Amino acid sequence: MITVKSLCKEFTHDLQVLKGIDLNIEKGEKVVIIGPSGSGKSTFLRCLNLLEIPTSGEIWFEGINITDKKTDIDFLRRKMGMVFQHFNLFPHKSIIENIMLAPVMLGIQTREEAYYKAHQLLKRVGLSDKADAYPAQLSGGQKQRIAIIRALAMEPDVMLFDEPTSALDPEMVGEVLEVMKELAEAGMTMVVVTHEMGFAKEVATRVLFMDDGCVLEDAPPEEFFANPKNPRLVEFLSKVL
Amino acid sequence: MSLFKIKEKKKIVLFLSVIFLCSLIATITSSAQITEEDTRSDIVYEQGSVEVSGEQDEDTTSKKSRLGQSSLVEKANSIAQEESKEAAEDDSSEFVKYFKKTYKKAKDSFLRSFIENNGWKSMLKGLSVTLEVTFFSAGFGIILGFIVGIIRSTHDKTGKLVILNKCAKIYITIIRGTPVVVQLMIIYFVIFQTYDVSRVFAAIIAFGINSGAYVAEIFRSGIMSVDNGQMEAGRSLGLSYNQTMWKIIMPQAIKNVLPALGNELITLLKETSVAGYIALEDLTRVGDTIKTVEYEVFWPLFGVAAIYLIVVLGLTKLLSLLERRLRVSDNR
Repeated sequence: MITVKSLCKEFTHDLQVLKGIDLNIEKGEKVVIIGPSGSGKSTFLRCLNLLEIPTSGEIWFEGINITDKKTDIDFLRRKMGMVFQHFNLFPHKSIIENIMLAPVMLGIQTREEAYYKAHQLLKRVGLSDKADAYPAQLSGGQKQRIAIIRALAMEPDVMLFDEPTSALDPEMVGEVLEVMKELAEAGMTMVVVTHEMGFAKEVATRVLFMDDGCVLEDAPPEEFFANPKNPRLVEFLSKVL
Repeated sequence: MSLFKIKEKKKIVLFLSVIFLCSLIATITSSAQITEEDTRSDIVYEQGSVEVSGEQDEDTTSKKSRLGQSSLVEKANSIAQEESKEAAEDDSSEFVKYFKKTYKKAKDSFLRSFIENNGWKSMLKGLSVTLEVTFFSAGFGIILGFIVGIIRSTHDKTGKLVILNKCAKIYITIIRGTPVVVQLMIIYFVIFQTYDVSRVFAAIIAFGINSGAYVAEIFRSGIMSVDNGQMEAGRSLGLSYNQTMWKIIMPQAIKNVLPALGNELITLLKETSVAGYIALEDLTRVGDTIKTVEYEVFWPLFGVAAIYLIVVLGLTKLLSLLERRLRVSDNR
């Protein structure tokens, strides 16, 4: 579904964040990327929907080369939902408007359809009573759940999560991970950058370890945690587990 | 709501006290002139004071009712004159006299400034010119500033529109670097030299262009103040740059920018007072004319100041209402 070929990203000539990444993600896979800060994992994720423009390399999504300048990236982004560390809800819109905005504006759904769908999604994450509230009135965990269903309202084929629980109080991490687990069980293709090792163990079909702009380990979670091969990963796991 | 009303009352009280303070200064300054110059008007003044004291004295009025109509005025006058003679020796009455004298002087000066030669009508006309220029130049300035601000911030965010951005920068530098009076005169006397345009039109163009430069920077700061994550969130949902700009960034930017924009509007209103340089009969110019014609300084100038103040207070109120409407989503 997503194929990445020798992807490089430089911010300046000195600062090379991604040093040639090759990766293939199949439909239905749940890929969790872990690694120390500054290893380039967030940049890699943001490259996947071109929020960062790669310096070189190719990204293919559903058979289309999205790094090609002629590709209509706005159209492809509809099929790639993204969830941010800081939620990025639209503060001037109510929750229901946040969810309905993109589908209605892009003419994918009528207002009535979008309204119905938004309410279904709200029910799914247990926030039906917040439909007419504004983001400022919600807790961090609630905001992130809304951010997830806002992305889901576009009916994407893949969901990208950029450290979705890093800005949350420990108490609220659980409710967000719960939503993500349900999503995984429903068969969504997911790429998740996170520091939640428990989530990686439980949900992932593949775990990647990134450091210094390279993927150093790529294995199923059982093998990844029980039998790490790369010495850098062994060191990392000994610190975080 | 009740709290809000109390605040309103406080505002009104404050405003009234400012006006009261003005009139107090008026009496003091004009009385100082009288005592220095106007010794020859002593007779007139004494008559006036007699009349006033006669009317105000309760004893006299009670006697009036008992006496016949014909002798009433005479009687009252004689009593008052006696009193005023006594008063001439008395210190406290001296103060009363002084106060009445200054009150009359101030009243005369007020009448001459505003009433006798229909000064208030010309002032209203001047006000309407000032408001007309302010309104249209503000509209023009906001549209111009909005466009320039978008060009500048789009360049800042994406690096596109290089040439337009250069032009915008030059425009802002020149306008902010030169006085508005000079710009106004250049536009009317140089640029429109060969065209037959009204002074109002020239003033609207000049003040609009001037205001646009400031508004552009205000809008740019507003757009830049919206978190980058908002643009990313919009784009990640499949919206285009323009769609995100209009539906997501702009509403938030405008909300952030409103206080600064209101400030600019108030500044603009007062800046139009230099329109007299191209002989436009605006409020300030009218006040100045009255000042010169009637040889009165106090009332024309303070009158003009008070009118500006009232308009600004109205504007402030309007803006705070608008701000409150846009702040609905901030409620916790």
